[in-house]
Amino acid sequence: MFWAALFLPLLGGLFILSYGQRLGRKLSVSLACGTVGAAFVSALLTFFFPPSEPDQVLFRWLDLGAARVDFGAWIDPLSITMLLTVTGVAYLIHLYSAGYMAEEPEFARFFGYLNLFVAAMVMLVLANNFALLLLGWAGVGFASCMLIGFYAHKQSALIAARKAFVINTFGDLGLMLAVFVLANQGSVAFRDVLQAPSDELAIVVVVGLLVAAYAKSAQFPLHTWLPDAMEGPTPVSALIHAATMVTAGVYLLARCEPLLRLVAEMGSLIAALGLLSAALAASCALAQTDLKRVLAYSTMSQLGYMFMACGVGAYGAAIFHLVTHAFFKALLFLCAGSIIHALHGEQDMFKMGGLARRSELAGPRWGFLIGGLALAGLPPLAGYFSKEEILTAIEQNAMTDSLFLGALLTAALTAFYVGRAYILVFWGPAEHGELHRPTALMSLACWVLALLTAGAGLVLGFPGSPALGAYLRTAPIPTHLGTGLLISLGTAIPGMLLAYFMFARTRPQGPSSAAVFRLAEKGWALDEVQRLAIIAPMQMMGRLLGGRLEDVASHRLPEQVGQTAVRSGQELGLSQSGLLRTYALVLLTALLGVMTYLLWQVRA
Amino acid sequence: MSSELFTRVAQLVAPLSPELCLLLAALCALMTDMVGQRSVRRIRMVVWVASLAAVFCSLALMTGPLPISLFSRQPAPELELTPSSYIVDSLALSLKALIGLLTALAVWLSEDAFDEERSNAGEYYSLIAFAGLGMTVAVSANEFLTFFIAFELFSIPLYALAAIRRYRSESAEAGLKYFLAGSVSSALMLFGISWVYGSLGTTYFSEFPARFTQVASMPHALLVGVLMILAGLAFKMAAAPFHMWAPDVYEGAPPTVVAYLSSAPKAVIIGFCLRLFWADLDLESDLLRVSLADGWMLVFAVLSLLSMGLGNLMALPQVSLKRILAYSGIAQIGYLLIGVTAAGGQTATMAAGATLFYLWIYCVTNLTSWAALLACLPSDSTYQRGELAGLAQRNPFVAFVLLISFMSLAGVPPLAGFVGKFYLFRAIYAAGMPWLVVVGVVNSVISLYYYFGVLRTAYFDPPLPDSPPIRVKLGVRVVLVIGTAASLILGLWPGFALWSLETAQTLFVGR
Repeated sequence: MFWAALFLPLLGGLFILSYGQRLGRKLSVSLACGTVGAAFVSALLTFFFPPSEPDQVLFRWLDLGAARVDFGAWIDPLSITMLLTVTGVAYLIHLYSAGYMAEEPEFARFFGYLNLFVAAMVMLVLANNFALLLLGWAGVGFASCMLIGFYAHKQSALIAARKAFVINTFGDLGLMLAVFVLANQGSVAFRDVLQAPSDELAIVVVVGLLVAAYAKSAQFPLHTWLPDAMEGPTPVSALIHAATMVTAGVYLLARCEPLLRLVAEMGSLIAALGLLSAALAASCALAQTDLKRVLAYSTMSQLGYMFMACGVGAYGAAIFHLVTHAFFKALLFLCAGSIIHALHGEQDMFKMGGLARRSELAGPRWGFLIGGLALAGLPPLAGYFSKEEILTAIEQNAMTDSLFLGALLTAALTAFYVGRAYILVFWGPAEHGELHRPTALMSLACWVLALLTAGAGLVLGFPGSPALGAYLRTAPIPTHLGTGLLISLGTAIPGMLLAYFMFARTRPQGPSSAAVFRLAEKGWALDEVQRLAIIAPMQMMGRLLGGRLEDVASHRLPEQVGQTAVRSGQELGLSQSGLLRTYALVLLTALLGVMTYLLWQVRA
Repeated sequence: MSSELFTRVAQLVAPLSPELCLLLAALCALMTDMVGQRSVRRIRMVVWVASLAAVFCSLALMTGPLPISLFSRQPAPELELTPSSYIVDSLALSLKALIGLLTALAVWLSEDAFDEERSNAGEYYSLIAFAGLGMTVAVSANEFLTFFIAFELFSIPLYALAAIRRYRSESAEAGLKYFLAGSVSSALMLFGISWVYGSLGTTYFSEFPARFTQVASMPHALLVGVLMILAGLAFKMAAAPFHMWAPDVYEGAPPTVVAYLSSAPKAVIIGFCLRLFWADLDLESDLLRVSLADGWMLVFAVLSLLSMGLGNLMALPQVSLKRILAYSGIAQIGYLLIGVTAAGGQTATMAAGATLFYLWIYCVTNLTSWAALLACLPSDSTYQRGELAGLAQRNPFVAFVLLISFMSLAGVPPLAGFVGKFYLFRAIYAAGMPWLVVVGVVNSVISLYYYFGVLRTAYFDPPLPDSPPIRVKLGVRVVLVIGTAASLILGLWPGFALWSLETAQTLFVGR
């Protein structure tokens, strides 16, 4: 039944892409939502009636000598958790999109790719081997690129799509490297690789997997595509660039835990880079003016937390945070989308303000508040429990205390930037004219997500009885309610208070012009660094090669070769006289030639 | 008594059911015509139903105990085995299924293709069925004379089919050329058989190894004989340098007929090469300085090299679609011969499986390409490349079929042709001839030029002002859908064809 979760969105997406425009808006939107809803139902059924064996082979897919590749699923608690999260959030965001994209003329392209994305993501989390995982991995990258560049009339959207694609393809290369090494060792199936991992070349495999995970999950230094990806429609940002696709890296690390264990020293590196990404992104988030870019940096920062958890070996905590983050970040994005929709596309926070007084936006306001408090890590919201688990795990397992201190500081920064965003958007004096009211479907999706954000933590991860941890069968992390509360309040409250004093008392008219802020807004100029260090040398090499060498090597030489081939074909064609006696002569000559040769060979 | 008789008849009939299906269809078509009941549709239906029944029977037999030997002879006193002239094994059955499918496709393709089809329906369809019958017998032949008779049984109807538009000079010329060239090949083969018989004293394949150790004093005569047989076979499948008749015949004969005669006979010959050379003629002897197996591998490798090279190069300057496909067919035989070569090496099972797999893909894709051309060109067309201009706008479906078929023939991933070539190259690499992989890959690159030249015309050239509208008949549409689906499915899911790989295992059991 879990196959329905893959094939329904896939077929739906292909059908909508081919015939959606002719089918009409209503039918294709219902088809898109229906197939994803059905996928969610099948995920639920899989949860309640899991198969007895994790390895479920549908058919043999490729046969490459030693390495045989099955088309199959690996159904264990981890993949069921991912499947439920992905299809559930995707279903809500599909519903939201039905309202959000109500006036989009090219709805078929949007919903078709959105469905294809869901199918690829499901394939990614269900795959029972690395080759199939790669298929899903590349598939989500492709769908993401098509959706970032959805507004094809905007040059910036196209450039962002290209950037996302290039960096993600770099990640795919890492995964491919891992797959090829594994295939060379005999098998790419999880059954073989994860249950009996081989030491040989493990470092290459792990590095390949890490490169893939870092590119997909926008971790330093492969993160620069994520803020730009906000050029896509807001539901896309919510689904792909917050809740699901970017978390694939965390899933990959959790899935490949046995492999990562082989290279023990990698853990500290993963944790350190995770902290770096988290802190870097948080610092960028507090200087942004664009609401969506705040959320994008915040996503990167939260993913940094998950990588830190993976680095210290707390995979259960990472997955827990992945799930709660999917809820509250999707909620934040959808509320931000409703606000942007209401303001006719305005994304600059300094031009918003005063929205708390508008009754039309009461829903998004409360939603944003709940999501923001969850992001800041206040109890009893979902974000509190999962972040708590990660912080405790870091405190207990990390090599140095500085990791823990860094994580705490980042948590305070998180509270600060989310408070800043809330104050700038909803408080203050600004007046707005006519507002676009969010439709019922949009509100419904937001309310369900708000409910999940409020309740999921209590249900899944209450300290002492972590339901998700037990389900995933990970080692429990002994958290204490008291110290947890203390840590959480000790970081979140000061951060929010600081935001209150800086922005609520005297509302600034624009972003601070201090150099350090401007630098932070530009993401610490890492784009420029990349441009100078990687792109510029490549372009220079391209110009160098493109000048003379290219003319000879890829124009004149192939031209010559091609013409020679065609000319030789023409000359050979002359032998084709149409006369049967010529043909018979050629035949007999050839026969005699071969005969003479072979007889001469056996003569002695 | 009667039940015993029934069992014995059933034992004889069941293994021959594919052949009997086609025989009944052929006779039925002929009779209907003679009685004067000229219902074209009914005759056509009889033949395609019978062909599909033959496919079904072959597949069903594959699940039973194999191999089945029929028509056994008393064993020679000095040898202990019982030679039989007819064998039903998984190699034969998989080829019978392919031949049945190709026959059915050819019948669908012929719907209202030209006038004779209307006036001489019985003749036309019974000839197709007889050719199919001959081929199904030929792939089971386990003895030279049986094979030769079956060979003639499918060749002669094909000569007649090539000339079926006898009022047109080019069709008559094609038929005559095909007949004369085919006669030369038959004569060569028969002559070769007599040399083999003269040196070994038997025509039963299963007796060859034992006989050879007894009478090993004259390998020269054996060598000459086998070479002549090989030349005859190479002639029939148009492998270079025995290929020259093919472009002329393909150009003149009716396209529906060419679609059939350019695919099905190749399946028979390639299958027979596998059976003859690697199952029974692999003779080790100290007398030969070159081990004979290595010698045959070299001969096949040279045939393959020449076919790929000449076929692809000569296709480059062509503008006639028929000649492009003819030369492309010669090149494709070269790829198939890579597999036959590899089957002589250490990894025979893998190579034979790869060859069968590619054979299926090539035959179906080749027939689909002809069907696509037939669908979009008028019946009086001269098949110039320019006539395809603007096909993508005039009929996107046919253009898409042509795109998939040609890309599959050229070996572009993720289509079936790519997977097939990949398996072939892997087999020949494992057999220790990596240079043939290089040749094969270079040739695939060359072939892209002419395949894409046709596609460029179909997709990027504007339509000619007076191009007639394209209406695709139901039968042709069925062929197009089946062929395209096969290219896509086998490309995306090569595991589907696994059973054809396993087919080879039964053949090479004990090796």
